Amino acid sequence: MDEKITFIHTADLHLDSPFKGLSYLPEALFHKLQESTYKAFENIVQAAIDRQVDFVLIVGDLFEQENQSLKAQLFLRKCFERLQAFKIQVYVSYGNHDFLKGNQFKMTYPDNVHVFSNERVQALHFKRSGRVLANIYGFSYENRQVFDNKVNEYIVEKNEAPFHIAMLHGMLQGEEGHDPYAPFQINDLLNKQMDYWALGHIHKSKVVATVPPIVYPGNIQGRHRNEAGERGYYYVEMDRSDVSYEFLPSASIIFENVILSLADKQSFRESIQYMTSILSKQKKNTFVELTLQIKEEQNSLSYLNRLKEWIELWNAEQDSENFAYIYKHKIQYPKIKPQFEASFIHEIEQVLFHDEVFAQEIKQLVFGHPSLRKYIVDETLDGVEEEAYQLMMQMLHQNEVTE
Amino acid sequence: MKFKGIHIYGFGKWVDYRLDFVRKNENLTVIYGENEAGKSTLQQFVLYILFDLPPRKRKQFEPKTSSHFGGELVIEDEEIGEVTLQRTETRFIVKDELGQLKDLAWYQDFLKQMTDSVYESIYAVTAEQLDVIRDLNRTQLNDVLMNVSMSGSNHLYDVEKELHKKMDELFKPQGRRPELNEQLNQMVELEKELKQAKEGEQSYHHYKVDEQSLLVSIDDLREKEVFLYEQLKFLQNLQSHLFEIETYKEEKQRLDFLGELSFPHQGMERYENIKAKKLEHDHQIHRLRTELAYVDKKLIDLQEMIYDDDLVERIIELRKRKEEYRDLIENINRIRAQVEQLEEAMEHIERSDQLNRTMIDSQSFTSFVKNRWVSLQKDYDQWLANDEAIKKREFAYDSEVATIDEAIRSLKRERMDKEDYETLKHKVNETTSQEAKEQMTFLAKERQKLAKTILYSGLSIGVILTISYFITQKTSLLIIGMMAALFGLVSYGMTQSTTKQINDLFSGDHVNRDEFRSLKESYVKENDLRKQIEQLKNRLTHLKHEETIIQHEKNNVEKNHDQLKEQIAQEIERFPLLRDIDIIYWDTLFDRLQTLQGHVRKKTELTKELKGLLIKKTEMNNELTNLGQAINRQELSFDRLEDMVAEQEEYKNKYKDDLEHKEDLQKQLEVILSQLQILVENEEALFEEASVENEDDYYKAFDHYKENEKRRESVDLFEKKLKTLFTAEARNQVLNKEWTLQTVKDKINHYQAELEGVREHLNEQYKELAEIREALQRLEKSEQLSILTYQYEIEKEKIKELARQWVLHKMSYEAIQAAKETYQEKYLKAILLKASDYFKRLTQEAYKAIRFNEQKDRILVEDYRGLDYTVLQLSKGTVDQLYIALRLAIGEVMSKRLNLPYLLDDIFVHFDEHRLQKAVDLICDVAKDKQIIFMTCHRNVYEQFQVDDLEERVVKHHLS
Repeated sequence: MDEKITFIHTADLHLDSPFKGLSYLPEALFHKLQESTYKAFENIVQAAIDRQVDFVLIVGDLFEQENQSLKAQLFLRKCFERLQAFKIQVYVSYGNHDFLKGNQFKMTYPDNVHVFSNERVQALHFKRSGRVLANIYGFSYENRQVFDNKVNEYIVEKNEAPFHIAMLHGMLQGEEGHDPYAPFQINDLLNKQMDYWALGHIHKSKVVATVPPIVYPGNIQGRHRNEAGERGYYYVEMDRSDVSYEFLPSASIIFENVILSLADKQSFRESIQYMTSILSKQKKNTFVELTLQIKEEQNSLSYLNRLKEWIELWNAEQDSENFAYIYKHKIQYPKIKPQFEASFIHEIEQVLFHDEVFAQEIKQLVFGHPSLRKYIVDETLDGVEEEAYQLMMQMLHQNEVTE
Repeated sequence: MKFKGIHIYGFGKWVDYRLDFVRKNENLTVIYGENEAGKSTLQQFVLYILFDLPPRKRKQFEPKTSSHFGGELVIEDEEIGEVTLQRTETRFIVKDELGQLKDLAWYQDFLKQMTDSVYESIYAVTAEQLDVIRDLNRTQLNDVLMNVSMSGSNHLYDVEKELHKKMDELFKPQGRRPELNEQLNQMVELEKELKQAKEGEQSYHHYKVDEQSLLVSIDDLREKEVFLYEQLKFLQNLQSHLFEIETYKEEKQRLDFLGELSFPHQGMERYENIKAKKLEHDHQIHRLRTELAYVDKKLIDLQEMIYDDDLVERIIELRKRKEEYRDLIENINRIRAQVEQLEEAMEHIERSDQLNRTMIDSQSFTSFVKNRWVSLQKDYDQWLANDEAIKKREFAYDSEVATIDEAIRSLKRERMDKEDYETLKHKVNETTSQEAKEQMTFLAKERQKLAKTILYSGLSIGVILTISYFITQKTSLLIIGMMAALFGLVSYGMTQSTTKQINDLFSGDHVNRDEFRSLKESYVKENDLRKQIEQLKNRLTHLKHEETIIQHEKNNVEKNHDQLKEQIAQEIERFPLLRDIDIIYWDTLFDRLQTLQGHVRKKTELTKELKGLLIKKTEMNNELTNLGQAINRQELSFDRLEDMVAEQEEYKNKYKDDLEHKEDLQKQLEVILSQLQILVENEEALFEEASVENEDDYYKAFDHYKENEKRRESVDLFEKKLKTLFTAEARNQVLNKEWTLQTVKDKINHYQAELEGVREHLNEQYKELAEIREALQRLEKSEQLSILTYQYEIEKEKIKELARQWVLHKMSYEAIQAAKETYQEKYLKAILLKASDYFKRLTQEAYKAIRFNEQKDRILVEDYRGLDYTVLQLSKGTVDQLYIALRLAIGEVMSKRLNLPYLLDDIFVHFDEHRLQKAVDLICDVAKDKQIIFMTCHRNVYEQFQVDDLEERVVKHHLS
């Protein structure tokens, strides 16, 4: 009997989850963005079909929220049906974003879809020609939070199956930026006699260990600046002697954070030439957060306005089929110099940077505003003091220049 | 801190220019220069050395006449001492008094982080700034002065104003119109839509549940509908077949009563089948018998036509001699033809040669005979030739003699008489010399000779040709011969006449020279003639001799002829048939005679052979005739014999075939007869089975049976129909229950009503289902929630951005306010105190104090009477004074942190003489503690500083 299996390991689809940090988009790009999570999963389904894999593992967070949008659910069902047509099995565990109890109306999926139905770790069996080839272990979140270490529940079942694969949506201790659900340590996993640990939850692709492979595939489509770079899934081939796994990209849109220094550019013209050359080299369909480092002489309203105009022009010229769209740009100002003690600027500096109450009181106008406050988070006003200082410097300087 | 002096390497119009602000220990430097003299450039130079200039501005001051840009500034500091600043295009060097280089951090610390803008806002006061103040409206003026009083910069006012404007545009916590407020309102709308969309999607699941329960209910109703419909159909069926059903029941009863009737299985078909077969067999028997009879007859006929074997043997034998007979006939015909040919050839010979085969019968024509005949013929030919030759010679002789005779006669006629001749002869001899005579004679002789030759030749030719003519009979030869003779005669004649003339000449009486010549010629001629006659006479004599020879020969020929005649006669006697035949033909006759004799012999042989053949032919014909008689045939031929053999063979074969056929037919007949027997047996068996004895009874029994079967069939048929009309259960009901038309009708009505009710209900439910499904489809297609969620996120991001913008502006604005407040607290008191003092002095104590109102948003000025004025109430000149007082005061106060010199550029430009004096006094006063560099382009201002007691404290420069 052919004792080789191939599968795709993916997690954190977050279908139909909106993108953050974009305040304006042309319609064509908006549409592209809106379809991107779908497109990413479609790419994976196509790959599964093209590579004729045995099954697809989806390790949690198929949806952004427990109240899943109808579009996302119907889309997923259609994808599953497509895989069914090619006799490809699908193993699904739900995560903290799409926990079981959050959704009272479950969509019915075709027979090729096998769902871990509760929070207890259980084994599902992948069979070929009536023989069990792989035991697939996993659980689904019943509630939003699972704080227990679930690893102890993963126990290899003694049956004819030559392969044991574990699906775990949880947090590797020591990682940051995600909720610490179902936490575990690498050593826990290494001792479990599994052939492959298919992880989910952390959105950045990461191979935690190689023997056996313990892999976070990351999410399939980046959705904001913190999910920059290529996103994708793992294609795994497994036989008695070897496990090979390969990261493959799936995202239809890529977020990139580009930091460019214009300080050594002698003229505005040279600056835009430089920016054009860098931006033109971006991957197809990229949303760029552009941070521009400038020097003292460039720190003028007129220069900055010209930069802004250029960015608008650049964006206007982007083709919706192939773009490097600057969705946000930031200016990194030159270091603030100490000021003459008796100068007015010195006083401003004192107020902005050394008076703790002053900034807080002003921010509170926003944080405390009855209708505004729910939209604002701390990061919204990050660095606003420095920007205010620079603004004033520019304005004061501007007036002097025009004089 | 003091600026001691500058050294400009190159800056604007200044190239390698040195200027000392301080000579000894002065604090006030007054620089006068007309417009464009370079005052402002000097000020910019100082700022450039201190703080550098932005590249564009620096470019503005690149010297046109030198490439060396930059310069030095020497500063005197109370604590550190002298510091030299050197700035060029490429470097900036700071050196202390000891010449030690200092780094940039040291320098920045030295200047206490002072920047160009701060320096300008504190220590640099210019006429332009005053102009700005003057152009402001009065409300703004207050604010500017307020700001100046607090920060020293009148730009702050603009910044504040702009910030405030932007702030208000962005957001007002209680407002509606600003951007953020609008965005928030929009957000509320969006949230509502989002909520609706979410509810819509929730309703999807409710619709799904409804759909499921509706489907169940519809299934139930459908089931009921089917049941009712089936019932109704059953009853309607029952109704329309009720009569048939009753009939059926009766028939069924009757059938049960009668029970089963026996008749052979498929009895009628079988019987009919047997009958048909019997008939068919009869036909066949008849046919076979007829055919048998026919074959018998054919056999008899054939037997007659077939001969006995020995007869056939004879025919075969005779037929074998067919070739022989044919050859015989052919030979007979050939020999006959040969005989005929021979006869014809013989007759031809006989006819053409006047011969008769009887003449030669006993003759023997040997080769000896032939030789004899040939030699005879030759001799005869020889004789003929000789005879002819002799005759020719005779004739030729006669002709010549006659010719010569004639010639002599004619010559004699021409000849002179003998006396004439002698006379002539004499005359000639007399008169001519011997030689001449000889010559002449010679000539005449020659001439005579030639004439004779021609004559003879012509005649000879003529004779020869004439002879030839006789031999050949060619006329042309005769003519040519005659012409030759004639020519000879004519030539001779002419010669004769000439000779005669000569003779005449010589014979004439005239004995002169010409006469003599003529005489001589005649004499020669006469001599020739005589000679010719003599010659001809000689010839004649010769010819007489020849005649004798000819005569002798002629006799010999005569003799030969006689001998021949005798020999021929002897031969004719030997062969009488030669009697009438010329000897010349004998040779050819011999061959023909020989041929004829051959033919005769051959014919005799052939005739004999023919006779033999004809006898043989008669024999064979007899044999044929005998055979013909034996087989009763009158005529027989060998060809016929051939056919007969084949015919006999054919007859025999035919006979054999027919015999076989006959046997076959007999066998068939036997088979059919046996089959017929079986059929008869079967028929009897059927009768027995039907318990009848004859055909009529059999048919009757069948009719009864058929009737019963028909009934059963109709009953069965109806039962089948019942099966198609009703289910088993329904059939049970139909047959076991008593039905009346009325009860059926009642039931139909009842069920119909019930069915209609169910259908109506079903329609409603279908409609409902359709609506639900439409809603479901709509929801499935809808991307509204997805789009709204995205939009919501984007709009939220906009709010964040706007909020940040607003906070940014708000913070900036508030920071300025806060800074101003601190600033006021720290410096305002001192500044106002100092400014009040300066203002009082500038206004000659018309005003005594400057202060803020209680709200600190307005400057008040108190006059000498203690009355307060707002800035708005002051004259322009007073505002200038107020502005200068404030600026100087700020500088004064700031100098406690960093004491840098003032750079004052024509700040008294609007002052009248009186005010100017006070202002100059004030400047001089301030300059006691602090360095002031004062620049002006007004001579009257410059001259104000020419006060005696000032001289020691002032350095003056006049730029030209």
